[in-house]
Amino acid sequence: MTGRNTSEEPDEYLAEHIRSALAREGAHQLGITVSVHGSEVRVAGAVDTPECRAEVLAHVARLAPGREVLDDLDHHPEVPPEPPERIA
Amino acid sequence: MTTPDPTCVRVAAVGDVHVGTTPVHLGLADVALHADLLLLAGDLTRHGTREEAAVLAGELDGLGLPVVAVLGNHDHQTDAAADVVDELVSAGVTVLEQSTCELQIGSTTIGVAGTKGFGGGTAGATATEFGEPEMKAFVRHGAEVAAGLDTALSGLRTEIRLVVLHYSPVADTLAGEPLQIHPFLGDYRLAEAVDRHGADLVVHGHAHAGRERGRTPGGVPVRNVARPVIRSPYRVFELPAPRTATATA
Repeated sequence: MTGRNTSEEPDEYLAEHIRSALAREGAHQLGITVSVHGSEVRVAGAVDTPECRAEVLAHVARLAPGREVLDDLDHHPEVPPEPPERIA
Repeated sequence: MTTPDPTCVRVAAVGDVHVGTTPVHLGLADVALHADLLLLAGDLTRHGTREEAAVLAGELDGLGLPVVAVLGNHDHQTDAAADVVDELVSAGVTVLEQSTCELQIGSTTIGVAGTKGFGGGTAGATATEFGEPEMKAFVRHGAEVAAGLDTALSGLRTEIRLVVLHYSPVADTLAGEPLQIHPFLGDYRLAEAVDRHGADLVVHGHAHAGRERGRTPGGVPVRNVARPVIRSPYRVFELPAPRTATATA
């Protein structure tokens, strides 16, 4: 029999628990992915601002104590405004 | 600043500004120079608190043009949506939910129908009202919201008809989002309501990783104006005016 008496939570479950917790705590941004590989937690995707990026990373660090948080997040840089679009 | 085209109505739109409790710079101060009307496509706050809404209201007050908004799912997070609405209304914002407002800009009448919308899925890949009560309630709520939009649109007789949503009505503008979460990002029944009555433009937010441009099956232009998508304070659309509103379905 497998799946019982494991001393550690499988990586996939931990990743989803972190992602869900991010959502509940309001740092959730659609499109953020979390993956866990052993002692590393990788967070990827796009956030709105550098402040949000820092907040997400701090949340993850609290949710996965003792693991290294790898930052693959990017914030959406502003781009020059496009000219108006004519809707025909 | 470009010279306004007098034959057009200029509509600015943005969604998903996610204002928190700290002061923000949304880049909207000059919007009245570039547009005649501003639409806000939901997720205006991070957690839907009065405090966050007050910060947003401070940004919106006195912009110098009509502002019409719908709420998003974030604006419901703390079950204080009424407080959010109160703050927005105090700043002069018209907040729609399965309802409409009418404005006159120059000699052109403009109607805006709005709702937050809800999930349910895109055509061909929808959840169905079957099985457990919780599943039926989820699907039924989306149907009720779409029906509310349908009723709202049915009453508009203006020359230009706009629709503002938070959730997407079409799959086009969800492209880029994981397929697994599409049922939580939009509902095709919103597009069905739009096509039944006709509109000149639909704007929505919610899909941060989605694509900007789409179209309903009936041919109505759909624009995802979530700020992470447009990556600027707002997008401006020019709609020829006056014209006679016609159903496109």
